[in-house]
Amino acid sequence: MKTVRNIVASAILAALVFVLLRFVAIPTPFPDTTLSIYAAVVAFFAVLFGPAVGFVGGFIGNLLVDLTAGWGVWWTWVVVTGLYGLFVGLGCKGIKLEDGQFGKKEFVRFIIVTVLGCLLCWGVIAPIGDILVYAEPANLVFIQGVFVGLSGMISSIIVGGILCKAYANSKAKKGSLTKED
Amino acid sequence: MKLLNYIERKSPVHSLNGASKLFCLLMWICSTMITFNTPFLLCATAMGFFAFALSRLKLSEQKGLLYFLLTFMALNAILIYIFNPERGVELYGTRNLIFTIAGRFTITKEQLLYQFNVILKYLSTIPIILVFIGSTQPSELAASMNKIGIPYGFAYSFALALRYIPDTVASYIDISRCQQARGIEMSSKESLGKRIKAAAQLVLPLILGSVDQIEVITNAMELRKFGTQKRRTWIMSRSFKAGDYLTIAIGIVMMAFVIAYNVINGSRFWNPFI
Repeated sequence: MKTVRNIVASAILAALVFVLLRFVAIPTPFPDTTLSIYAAVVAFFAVLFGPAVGFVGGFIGNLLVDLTAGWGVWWTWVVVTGLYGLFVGLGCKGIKLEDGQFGKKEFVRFIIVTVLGCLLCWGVIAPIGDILVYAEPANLVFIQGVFVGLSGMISSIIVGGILCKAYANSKAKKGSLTKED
Repeated sequence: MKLLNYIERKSPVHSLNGASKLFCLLMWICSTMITFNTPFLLCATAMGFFAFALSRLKLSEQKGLLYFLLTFMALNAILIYIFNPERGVELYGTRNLIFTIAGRFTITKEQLLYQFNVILKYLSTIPIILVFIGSTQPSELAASMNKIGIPYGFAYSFALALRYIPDTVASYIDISRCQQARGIEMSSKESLGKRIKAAAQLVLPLILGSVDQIEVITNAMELRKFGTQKRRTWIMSRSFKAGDYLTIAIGIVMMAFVIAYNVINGSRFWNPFI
């Protein structure tokens, strides 16, 4: 949280997570389950602005959603959204979207990092946290975790990938200008 | 639709410190979430409505959020019943059948009490959330959070997020209408692949637009020399007054009561059936 830009980026990410979790839900073939795309935005911001922004923005966004949702604040899930941003930010360190750098190599790295991140965050940390903190039934939380993790994976790879590519393409590549003889 | 907006007004609740309100809100939400003590929940509901009256807010001003919360509450109550009509029997350990609708759909006293508790949980938190959101100015909240020791970068982010949510919602609705006018379908009539693509078309302009917005806000803040010093003074900062200590005390008492009840009673449930 050093620079002004990071503070602002975290806030905007939180606002986006809030809106996406609240309004944008893609119906799936399964009843009462929707594919949420907030994970994709967290991943995109984490790549673009770094792990700190991913963590703080994801955390605040999910906290605000829970505060206004009426189901109570599920701290484990709130923290996990932040951790996902942190993980993706750390794993994708060195990808410079600002310089238009997002080719095949970076995309493969992005996919690996998001898949691992989703598995770790929603498949392991969130369910274990729920069992330890809230004494929820184990089979229920693991099913929830696996589902959210899978939907996060799909949306991160497709929507997150498109976002990174679109953003990188809108920036001029470093060294793309050559001096005329 | 309006969500999360501060409403300027003169009231005892508005004059409270944002940090004490935030603390009380968190304690309130946690304690009502943990407990299934019906008398406690009834008390909390009454207190919540009292706080709402005290804040001089009007229900009509918080329509968007209120409808959302009530819809969610109703939907949840119905789903709980459909998934397990005898959940109350499992929880309370006794079975007092009133009548049977059809097949497994029975009405038992235990289920009615359980569902009443769940509805009370919502009813006790909804007014207090509306009061907090309507009566707390984002910058004041940031000032108070910083005062109780949260780094100001984080506090400012939190306040800025609250400030920008209404804007983001508005631009989301604009983009969504534009895309619908262009014939993009997101309902279950389309195949899953097409729906994901439609969502991407909807979300891309929203997110890339917001990234541009970041540059604008950052420049505006840097021009005012934000973040050059280690500490920061706040124009909206308020000192703690008697009312703030009372608010914090209410939060602590609620939490303490719930924990004490759970320990003494040995379970979260208030059980009149034994």
